[in-house]
Amino acid sequence: MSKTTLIDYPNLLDDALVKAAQKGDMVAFEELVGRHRDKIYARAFSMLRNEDDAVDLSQEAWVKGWQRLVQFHGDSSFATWMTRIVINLCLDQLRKQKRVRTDSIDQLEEGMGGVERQMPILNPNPTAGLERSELRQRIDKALAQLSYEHRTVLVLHEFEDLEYKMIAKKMQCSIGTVMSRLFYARRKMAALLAGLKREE
Amino acid sequence: MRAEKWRPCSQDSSGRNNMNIDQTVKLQAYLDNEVSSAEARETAAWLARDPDARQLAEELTLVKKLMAEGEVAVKLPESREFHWSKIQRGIAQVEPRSEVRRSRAPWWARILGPVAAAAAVVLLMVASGSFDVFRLKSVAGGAQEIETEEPTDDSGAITFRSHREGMTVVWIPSGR
Amino acid sequence: MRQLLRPSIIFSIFAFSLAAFAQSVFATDTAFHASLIWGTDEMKPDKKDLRELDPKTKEKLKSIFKWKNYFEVDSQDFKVSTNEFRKLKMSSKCEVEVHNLGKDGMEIKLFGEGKLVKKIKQQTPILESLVLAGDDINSSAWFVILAPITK
Repeated sequence: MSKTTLIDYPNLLDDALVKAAQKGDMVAFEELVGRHRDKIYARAFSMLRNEDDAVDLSQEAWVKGWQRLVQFHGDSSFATWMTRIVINLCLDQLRKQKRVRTDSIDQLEEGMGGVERQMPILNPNPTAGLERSELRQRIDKALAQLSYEHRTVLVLHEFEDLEYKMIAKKMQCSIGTVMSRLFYARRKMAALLAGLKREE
Repeated sequence: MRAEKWRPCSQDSSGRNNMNIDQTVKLQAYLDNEVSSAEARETAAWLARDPDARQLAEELTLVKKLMAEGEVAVKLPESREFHWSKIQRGIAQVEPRSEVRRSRAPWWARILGPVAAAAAVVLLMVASGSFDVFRLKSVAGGAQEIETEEPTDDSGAITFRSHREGMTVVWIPSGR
Repeated sequence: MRQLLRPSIIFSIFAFSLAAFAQSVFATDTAFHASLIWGTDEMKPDKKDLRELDPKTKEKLKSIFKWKNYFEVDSQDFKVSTNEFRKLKMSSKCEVEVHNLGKDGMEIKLFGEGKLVKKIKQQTPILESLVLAGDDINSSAWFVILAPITK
């Protein structure tokens, strides 16, 4: 019987769709794209902060996902596996961008110890009393103001739950660099969140 | 009483607020469960006796907690059909048709499959009572039956149908 | 038996011919609304020749594409009979030619600065909007929409 007419793709679990796609079933893969497209795009956008680049990279990630599908053995969920692919593509893109631009003031400051050293500690919580959606909006706004190194390390650690070692591998730097970037990123986030509260 | 402006990395050697970067990142690693049990005991003891370290720990924990609230829900700003049509085109570019992975179905299924599919098509055509309507809905991606030619470039167009909006789109990449 | 069959055969031939004639005379004029639209994330520029797009079409485009704003550059209604074609100038650079091939469908040609950019052949009648689109400079896009006008 014809696959396209008889298989109830929308009601299949990811695992079954992946198995079908691994055998070359494009309709199964299309269903996976349909299910996880927002998540993959969101991760690309959180790292790149540019809509066009994020759309292009998430599209590229899906093409890579299709090509590498036979390498997926179900050690993680399919969505997590795809997210890792888009993260790697974003990091490649960010590295390329870094090569063609001069160091930002943030990076220079980080090298020298950073303005974060001089920042007063946050007290009390500047987001107290906010609705969850408002809080997320504010965090997003603050994230957008971070340098890409700080943003990336935060996204990988806080949103993707990656350990220092894995982040270091992905960002091609030492664990020490990850630790200091994460520290400065958190301090800067705290300051930005406090600043956003003052702006109200 | 604590100083108004706390400087975690100050070079001040007066005895207060004189943590260096190594100490602060170690504190952070403790909060992230990235230290050994011996280091954890050491850091816990330090936190117990140093109010400045405790205050920094509170701030780092707060940011960690806030981030754990999650991200803004961002949606792909284009339709599923358009996005998929571009992915399909990308796949076709990296994986020529002849190399597209084939189903590893047994030989009898490979023979019976097309026959059964053809039978299903005929049955559906009869059942639908309208050949045109069937054709519109059956083409992969749902686009109306369209042939395209690109006289000026070889970049290829993407054709897809948005079922929701009832539009068939032929997207012509600029090739830039 | 032969005598009995003869009138019904003649009637059938007549009915078939009448149906074919009716189809060729009445069912061949196809009416369309053609529009050239510019999609952008920017606000409306100070250009006199751009009009606000009707909200329904705008919403349809917004649900498919990423651009936030859509403005109409030109729009025209036209009819094209079987075996005839109409060429429409949508802007100084963009022209569309619609060829009614009768039972063979429709052929649409898109011209950019006088050069043929795309030729599309649709084997079935155009029952719903057909959109030809592509990206433009400064992360914007153009759209040519051919919508059948139903009576």
